[in-house]
Amino acid sequence: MNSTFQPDSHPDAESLSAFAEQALPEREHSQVLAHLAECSRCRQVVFLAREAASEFEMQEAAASRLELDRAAAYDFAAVMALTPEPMAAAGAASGRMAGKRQGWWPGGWRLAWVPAAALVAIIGVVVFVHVQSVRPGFESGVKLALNVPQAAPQPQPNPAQPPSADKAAIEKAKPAAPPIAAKAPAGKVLTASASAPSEAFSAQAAPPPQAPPAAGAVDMSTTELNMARSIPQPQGQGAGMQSNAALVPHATPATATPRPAVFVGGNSFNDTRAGTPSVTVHGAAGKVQASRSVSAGVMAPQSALESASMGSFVSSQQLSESKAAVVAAHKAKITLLPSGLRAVSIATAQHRTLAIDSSGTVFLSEDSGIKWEPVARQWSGRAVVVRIQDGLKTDRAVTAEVNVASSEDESNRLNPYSAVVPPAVFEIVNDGDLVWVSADGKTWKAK
Amino acid sequence: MAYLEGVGITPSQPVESSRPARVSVLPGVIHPALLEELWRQSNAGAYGLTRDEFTGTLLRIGNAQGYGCGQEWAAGEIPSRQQQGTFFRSLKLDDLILAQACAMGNERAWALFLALYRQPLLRAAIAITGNASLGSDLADQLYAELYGLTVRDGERRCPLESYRGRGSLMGWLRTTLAQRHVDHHRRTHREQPLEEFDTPAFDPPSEKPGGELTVLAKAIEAAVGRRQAEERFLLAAYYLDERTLLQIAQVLHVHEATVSRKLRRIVDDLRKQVLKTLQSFGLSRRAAEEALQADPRDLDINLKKLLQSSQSDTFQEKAAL
Repeated sequence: MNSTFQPDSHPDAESLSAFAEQALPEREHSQVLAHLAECSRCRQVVFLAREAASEFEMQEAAASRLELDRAAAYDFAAVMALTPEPMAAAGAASGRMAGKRQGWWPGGWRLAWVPAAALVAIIGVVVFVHVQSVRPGFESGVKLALNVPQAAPQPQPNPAQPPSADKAAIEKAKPAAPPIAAKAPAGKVLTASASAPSEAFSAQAAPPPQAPPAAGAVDMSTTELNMARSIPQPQGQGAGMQSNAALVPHATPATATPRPAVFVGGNSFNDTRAGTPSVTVHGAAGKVQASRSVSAGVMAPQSALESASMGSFVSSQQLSESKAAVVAAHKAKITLLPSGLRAVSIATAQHRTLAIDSSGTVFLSEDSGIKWEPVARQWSGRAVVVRIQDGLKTDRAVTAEVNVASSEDESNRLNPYSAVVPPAVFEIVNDGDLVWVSADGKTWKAK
Repeated sequence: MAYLEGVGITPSQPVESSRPARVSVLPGVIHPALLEELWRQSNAGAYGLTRDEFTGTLLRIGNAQGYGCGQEWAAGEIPSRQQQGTFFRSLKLDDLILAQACAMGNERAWALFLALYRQPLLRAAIAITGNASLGSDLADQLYAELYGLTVRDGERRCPLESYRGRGSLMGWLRTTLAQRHVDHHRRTHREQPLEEFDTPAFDPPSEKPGGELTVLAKAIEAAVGRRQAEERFLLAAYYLDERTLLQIAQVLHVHEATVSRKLRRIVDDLRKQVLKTLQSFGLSRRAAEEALQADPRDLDINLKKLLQSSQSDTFQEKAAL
């Protein structure tokens, strides 16, 4: 046993190492322990060696974890590649990891990120597709509405032709519109609001000047769905107001008190009830699209809503209603009229709804769009737009005025529909920009 | 010679010439079947060792360690095959043969040794010294020693010859590094420049402690002196070396809670024993407890000396029994 000692009577390196590794027999272990109890030098040696071993083990563990990660990644790559060579290599790597793999999940939890990432990607794609399927209707609706003044002329309807013939004509005319819309970006159209065609149009067929709505007045009871065309906007307003004015002819130029760009609508075109909020929607003929006519093409819908709320008497509730109205209009645009064609212009006042299909036929519904009846033709040319005559103060407009004027009238403030509502007057504009008016939607007189 | 690049030393003679020519015939015979089994187990053929060299190495190691039979084995006695098998199988035979082959100057063994242990050795040296440059120096120095650059009595000495395979070769290397580092530190840590040397002030002779304190010191000496080796090791490691419970637990291969429990029990036992000793000296229980409240600085006791010069025999004396 003396051979285990060094000349200075300390245990040699192997004895100390074996002691630290618990590799000594019991008797020798206790001898070394007794020496360690007395010898600070050997204690220091043992503790230092043990610390180095611990550090080495930690580094090795980290390295082995890294190696396992690499092996797992290589396994995954080999599986994904499904080629013989990587599979063989993966088999070898799997053999190394055989001791580590247990349980139902073959690759360990390190590979769990693969299906998780795939799941996230699938969800992302579904959400993206869903959003894309909803948004194009709004965006293209805005674009088309803004581009309508430059759109290809619609074929002249022949009153003698049955609706099916008109439908065929419209189908022929359809392909012409998208290229024009593509050529004329929304920004250009907006800046061209003061251009010659607009001026010319305004000079020819500008609606009669009407009293600007009261500050804060909001058109709450009318619904207009103008998809065929819109009338050029007057000048002298902001971008949002210009586009709105262009789309809504009765929004006359308001110099001091611009008309709010928000038309708070009801639930849907079909669900519009008398006295309930309404919506104005513009689109293109034959397109199953709707636009947020409340906003300009250069403005985001939300910002347009906010700008409207700043410049008018629009509460947060009305804003939410307007959003709901836009959604409702989106639903309404897929409603077919009895002619089998889609409505291109719709106006609702109280319980009456007038709609013009793409062939120019006018339909009237007195039960909010459930049952439609064709209106006998009493105008010349082809009806392209149906609208509510501007200047009529609706229920909520009256209420707003009441609220502004008299804060003491609590009942009016709490019940916005309590004011007396004057009867609405419908207007039909034909393709020659001539206007006919009707109070009941059945009997029309030239204006 | 790749390992020499790390060392920075060019040997004066090739490794082959440093091979110790003392693979002599040793008494004893290893059973051929066991020899074959050990040959395969140790992978000795990969290093280019011959069967004779392998057998001579095993016999030398077996004789040096008495085939694990301790004092019962008499030199020159031929152990049974079972004794031989038990002994050799308890060794880290692959590490042992690699180390012996390196000590004999086998190039292939050296190449494998460097491939296996170069980086771990450097990392261990850095961990021990706590400094990259010092660790690198320490590792390089050990490489030089392992290579056999140390010449004693005209013969190259390789520390690997002293490795006998009871622990792992890596553990042996780490312990050797730690020994080198501790020895170097002990040699140099008291060195200081002369200009900073300050003459110590005159220390007046301390007053002799009172009789009660003298009794207390004797009681403590008696109590500590009767502690077992493991208990003294725990006390020294925890209170003198200020090792953590975790460090102590790692050395003893127990949980640190076990170390904590043992330490508490040892301290309680020491206190009880000191009280008992004080009472045996004629103090009352209350007086003995009051004596334990004394300021330790008033006691003329060197615990370090006390723990490290206990009544137990030294390691060398014990081992020689």
